[in-house]
Amino acid sequence: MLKVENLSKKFGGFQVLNNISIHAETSQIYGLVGSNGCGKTTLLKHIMMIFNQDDGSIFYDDIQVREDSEIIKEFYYVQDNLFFPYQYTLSKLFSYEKLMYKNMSEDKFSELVSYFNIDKNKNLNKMSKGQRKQAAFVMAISAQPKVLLLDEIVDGLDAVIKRKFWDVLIREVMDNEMTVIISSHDLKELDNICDKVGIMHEGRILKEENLEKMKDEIKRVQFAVEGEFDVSEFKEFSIIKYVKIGSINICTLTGNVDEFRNKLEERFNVLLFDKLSMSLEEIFITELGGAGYGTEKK
Amino acid sequence: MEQKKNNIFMPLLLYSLKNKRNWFLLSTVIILVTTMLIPFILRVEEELFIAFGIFEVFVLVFINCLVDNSFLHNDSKLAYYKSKPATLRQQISINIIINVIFAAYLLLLIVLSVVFQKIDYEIFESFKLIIPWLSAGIFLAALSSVLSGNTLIAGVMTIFNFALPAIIYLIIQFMFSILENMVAGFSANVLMDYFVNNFYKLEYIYFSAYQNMDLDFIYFLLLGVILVGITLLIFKMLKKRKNENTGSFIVFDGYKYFVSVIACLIVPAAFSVVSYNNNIVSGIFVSLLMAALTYYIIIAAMERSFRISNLSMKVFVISMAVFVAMTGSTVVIASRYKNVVPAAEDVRVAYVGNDGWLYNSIKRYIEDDGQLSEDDISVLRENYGTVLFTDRENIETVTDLHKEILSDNNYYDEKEYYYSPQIDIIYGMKDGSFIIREYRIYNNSGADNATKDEIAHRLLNSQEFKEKNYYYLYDEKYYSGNDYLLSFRLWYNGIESASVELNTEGIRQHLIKDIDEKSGKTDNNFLRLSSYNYDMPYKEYDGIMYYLDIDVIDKNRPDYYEGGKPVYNDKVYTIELDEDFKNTRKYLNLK
Repeated sequence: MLKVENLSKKFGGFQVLNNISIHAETSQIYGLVGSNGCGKTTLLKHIMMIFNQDDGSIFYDDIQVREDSEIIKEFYYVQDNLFFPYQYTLSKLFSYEKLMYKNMSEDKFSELVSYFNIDKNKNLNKMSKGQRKQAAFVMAISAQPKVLLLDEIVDGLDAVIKRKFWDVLIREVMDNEMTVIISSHDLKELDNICDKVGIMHEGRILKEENLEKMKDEIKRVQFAVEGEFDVSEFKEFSIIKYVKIGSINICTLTGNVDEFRNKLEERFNVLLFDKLSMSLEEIFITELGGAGYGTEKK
Repeated sequence: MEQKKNNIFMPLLLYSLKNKRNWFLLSTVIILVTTMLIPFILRVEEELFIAFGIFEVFVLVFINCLVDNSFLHNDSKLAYYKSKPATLRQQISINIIINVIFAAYLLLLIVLSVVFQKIDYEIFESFKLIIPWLSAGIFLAALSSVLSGNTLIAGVMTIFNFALPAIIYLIIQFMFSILENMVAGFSANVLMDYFVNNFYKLEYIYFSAYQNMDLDFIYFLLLGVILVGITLLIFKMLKKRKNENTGSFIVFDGYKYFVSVIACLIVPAAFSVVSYNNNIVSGIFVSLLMAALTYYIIIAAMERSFRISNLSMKVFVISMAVFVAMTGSTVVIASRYKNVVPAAEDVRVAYVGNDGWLYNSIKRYIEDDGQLSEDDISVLRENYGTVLFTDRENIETVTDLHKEILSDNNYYDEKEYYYSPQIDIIYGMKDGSFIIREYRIYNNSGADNATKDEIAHRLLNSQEFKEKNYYYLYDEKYYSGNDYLLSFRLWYNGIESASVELNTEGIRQHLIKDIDEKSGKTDNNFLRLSSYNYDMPYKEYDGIMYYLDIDVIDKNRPDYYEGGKPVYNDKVYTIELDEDFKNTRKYLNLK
């Protein structure tokens, strides 16, 4: 398990990471989501020891990860803003990285090159953005790391390639006990593959939970009643958000939905009541709205 | 969790070396074409091309170092390499080793060119300097790249760090020049010379001392210490590096301020070297103004903002306070000795004149046994024309003059012979120590010249002075013919005169007569004492200027032997036959 505990970092006078703690289990895909500039990339760079934290620690299986520790050599990071050495082809890059990653698999490399249909002898810096992402992903999977950090990996990829990415990733996580942390803006994509999610905002983790549990905790109902619904009478159900569109009331709440319905029926003649499923994107917007993000008035 | 160690250093080193083959190839072509092919085609002097080739080696190695370490100056490059299992320490070490191999290879090409063209192997003497400079340059380029967030700045910082010992020298000199202006008698040059010779051995730091010396253990030890020191700094700085500042000019705030403070001191220090200012208050004000302006420009450039932060201002104020405190403490210490004039009975030898560098010459003679022997004094006199007074009476006169200068350092020099007149007084004490003072003499029309002229006259008219300054005339041993050969040559307007018959003994007697008469005069003696060779400064003369060269050959000290015969290196003394040498001129029948 990869644990980040109470990690803090200031850039000059600006607090970029504020007491961050996350826990990513082995054989899990952890989704790191957050507002723009909330510190996702900075957090990943701290995990990779690219940046030094002011406070806090990072552990892998309860062993503290340090710059010179052996375990960090089994972490692989694919950054958003990709870099490849000058005039390198994918084949050459494989030869180079093979010197460093002891588990680098030639078979897996060949298999993935073929699966993604990449020209391994083409100059990497002359490839399109999507092709470069695929090349980086192929290298990452071929390295068979224990921890894989993917920063905006599917950004700019078409739906077919995205699907291929997730197929490969899920298979690897299941087969090789890999811990994967993905940061992404594409919440719909993460919704389908993440086991656990950490929601970041302004350098803090607002919420970290199993995605299913998170969905269980935050619910949305839509209903219509005879008479005027007053949200203040239903405070005990922890209503996070209330919207009325025409005669339809929509509530996002963390309280018990069945008890909410019972109380509603006691007070009103309920004309309509539907329990809606929440997507990760909706949870994200709700959580960040609670933190005051995106609720500013025009 | 048990981890299997994966030794990646050697494979990566070999891989990187292999990747460098294009640079090796290109550099080989450049060096061989410029040092071998072009001089061969042109059939011109090859040494010049070898020197150019060495310059090319420096440039090629410098560029390679910067290119190799440039991954530290780009966010995505740095993130890529830093996220790999090879640590930054390993990657920088690999770059250093590869560049050392690259530099050694290029030097080997230069050696091949020298051998192929059969150039004098003495050119390899320069390798004693080139090798440490190249090695230190490679290590410093790595260190500067770690400290900087931008490749161009890393290049500038490499030069800055390389020049740092010299810059510190300049700043200390600046401190001493302030001291010189504030405490009469203390010379910045003398103090700096003492400091450099005893504490801050700059010529060893830059290995220039070995230009005229054989390599010794110290050479290798020093090179080792420098390279190990820089390596430890690289490793320390890598650990502390703020990678989030990549892209800034300098990634460490501390180093940024260090560079800014040092740079802001360079400008007034350099200005103090090239300018001469009598008013210490205005001088300090101008220096502070220049320092503040330089600091602001550098900080504004580094922080990319015209608005200077409070922290930057605090750093400047504190740095200046430290500099002023350090300079002030040297002034306070020196002030305690400002009015010290030794008792004549404690002095073994005394010098008064205008040779501020004399102490260097004296020091060379006392280095062997720590003593200034009679032989040393004699050799100093013959080699440098130095008059070191040993008579108690003359030593007392020197201390009298010293006291007089301390009470009044003005002298009216009507014809303004000097731009910056000075007088140096050196005492060699009986306990082996030295007291060295240098005084500026201000040309003041209200000055009382009489006392200074009278004291100077006592010295110039003393028998000891005459015998030591004109020993080749007064000492009989030069005329016995046993050990020395003496000859006179007469010159006028730069042409040797062959028409005048020169009778050595006759000329000698007339010269002695003129010198005795001249020494009897009392006016302008202080001016003479503080002038070159104790002659009156140059003055316009209407008639033909005649000079007598006196060639002295020591028959017991041949310079070298040629075909079994001794070849002598004669010492030449020149006397300007001005209007004071009436008797000699008349004797030689000169107009």
